[in-house]
Amino acid sequence: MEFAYSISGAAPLIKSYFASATMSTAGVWVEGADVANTDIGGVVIQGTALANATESTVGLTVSTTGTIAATGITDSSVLMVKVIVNPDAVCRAKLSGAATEDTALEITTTTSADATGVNANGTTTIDEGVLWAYTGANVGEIRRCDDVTGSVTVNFPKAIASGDTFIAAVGFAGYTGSPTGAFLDFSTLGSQLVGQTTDSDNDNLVILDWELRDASDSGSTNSFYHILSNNHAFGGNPQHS
Amino acid sequence: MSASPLIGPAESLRAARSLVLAKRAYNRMRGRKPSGMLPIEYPGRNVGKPAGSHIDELASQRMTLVLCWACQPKFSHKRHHYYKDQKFPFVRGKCDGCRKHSERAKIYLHESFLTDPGGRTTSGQIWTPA
Repeated sequence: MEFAYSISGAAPLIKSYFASATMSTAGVWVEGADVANTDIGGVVIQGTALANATESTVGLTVSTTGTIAATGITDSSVLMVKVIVNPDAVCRAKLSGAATEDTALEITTTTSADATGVNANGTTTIDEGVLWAYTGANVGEIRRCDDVTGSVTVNFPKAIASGDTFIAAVGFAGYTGSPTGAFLDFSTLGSQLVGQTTDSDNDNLVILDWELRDASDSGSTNSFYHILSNNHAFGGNPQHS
Repeated sequence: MSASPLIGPAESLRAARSLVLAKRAYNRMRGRKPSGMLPIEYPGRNVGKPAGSHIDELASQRMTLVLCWACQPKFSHKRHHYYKDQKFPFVRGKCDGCRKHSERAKIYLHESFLTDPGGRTTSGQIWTPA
């Protein structure tokens, strides 16, 4: 992930914090250290690989740490990680098809035509998620899914032909989680979003905007969500208890 | 009837402080306090240690650097294989050199964090850690 912009327009505010574990990847969200980690440092990586965020988000890292061990530290700077702490920071996060980073999003293909544009027949979609046209007449169009078999509540503007391809992903702009409890989650390293697998608990994120690309832009490996934390430690109304 | 304890100025100050702390734990206007320990910022280089040595050590560990306008010219980022991020005009934070908070600082990322090390270094480069 990367810092894209802040809602207020403020420049990134960067702080150095003690990390509670070795952080070998930059561009991940960190949260306040939980009880098990407070003896070590101040921040831990937040909610990776379908684990849930348990504390309030502190910010986005822009550096890595050295190897953090119980003994043998000769320079305290190796324990530090630099974090962008703006509570309104918007992060640009790549959508990955699986928990492993940079997995291509699955492209789903229609098996029959639908002149009304309401059903992408034969496709696999995500209820309450987003569906966008990858190839075909509806390229550039995005709709919200109604079920897991390609129905959209509001029809695509043009007829869907057999063989048109689409990509489905979890979430929608302004989305914090579906009524059925399907949430977005971070990838294994925490640097991307798992785009096509739902999680049962919220990782403090809300989708502000998106960059959903079609085949001409290699959209299966080149699509992003713009996310921000809805439970930020410095945001005035953190929610975890 | 028992006499009320005498409270001197020091005791009353202590009592007032404890009240303030109690108020900070729960503030009706701001909601519940954040969970977990809130991190405390790293103070930076030790006083007395030369800024240049400290920066060199950070650079050898490929740490991200924040430098204020006065310290920027003293750091040769190209020689250390650092990239001076141009996406934002400035960032805010404590300068790794002089330890002072700067509202017009620059952030330097090691090239190994970029997906294309040594590649694009023009304006518009985004932070894309590898």
